[in-house]
Amino acid sequence: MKHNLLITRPNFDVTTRYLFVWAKKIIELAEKKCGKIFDLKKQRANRKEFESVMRKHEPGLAFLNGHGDERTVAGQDNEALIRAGENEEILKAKIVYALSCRSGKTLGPYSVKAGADAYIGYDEDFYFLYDNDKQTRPEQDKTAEIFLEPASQVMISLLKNHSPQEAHANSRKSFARQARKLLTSGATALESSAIKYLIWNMQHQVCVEK
Amino acid sequence: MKKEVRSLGKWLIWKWTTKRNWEKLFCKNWRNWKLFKFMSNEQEIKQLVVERLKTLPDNAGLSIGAQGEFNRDELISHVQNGDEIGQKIIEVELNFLRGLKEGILYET
Repeated sequence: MKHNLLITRPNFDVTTRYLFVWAKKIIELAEKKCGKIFDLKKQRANRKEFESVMRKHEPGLAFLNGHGDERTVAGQDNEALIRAGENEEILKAKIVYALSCRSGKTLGPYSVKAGADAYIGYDEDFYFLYDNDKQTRPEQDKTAEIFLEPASQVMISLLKNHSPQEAHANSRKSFARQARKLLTSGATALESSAIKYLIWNMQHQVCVEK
Repeated sequence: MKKEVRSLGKWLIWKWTTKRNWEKLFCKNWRNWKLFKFMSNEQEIKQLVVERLKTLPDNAGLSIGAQGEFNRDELISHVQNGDEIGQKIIEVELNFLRGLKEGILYET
């Protein structure tokens, strides 16, 4: 079954710039696999527009990029798009992936309690290393790719109609595969440093389901 | 005897850190974990983390979500100050070592 997809892509600092560019790859894949795509990028990643699209079009899948904390996922300029206890019911009957810090801890369980089908996120900070010289061209940054490729695996799997648990497991496997590769190959100092953050992200990715 | 083992442990850690490949050695010999346990003193752990951070290239940045982005020298400074960011970095490092001990990469 083809889902409609809503994606939020704020872009106002280094971290969100990287997520913004990497999420574009997911949009390219979604164009082949999804129904309608609602791309709330930059200034459009605000609460009013987010709630409006969610209510009007009811996309089955939501991919949220941006900063966050235990109770919140934010959009452009850190405006809260969803906050536990305020508007999590908007995620009812949706599968959500939040590439955002810590929201899997509280917002995830709140959302599922409020009717979301599944919430995949991180219950701690999401770390990634990047190459300062590639800040303006994140798509060419091989260092960041080490982290963002496994993180994107959740959406890739969901778009291929895998279940949320399978998507979560596939992403964790991808993190582990990447870490093993760096442990066993002739990795550079930077790549060796990446291993601990990969393991961290892998361990703290959570999938909350009904 | 305990003192000797402790100093041997410190020597091993120093040796591995300077060679930048101690992770691999660590993985090959789990008995070294027991030596590492002697390094439980906070200052020593900080020093270990700082030494590990020194292997990051100049042009590397680390994004820690909403906390911001940090270069190598900033990370080292946070660890030395023992502030919130520094504690997070130490936690990630120790988590990594615990994970290796538990074979986390081969369970997934």
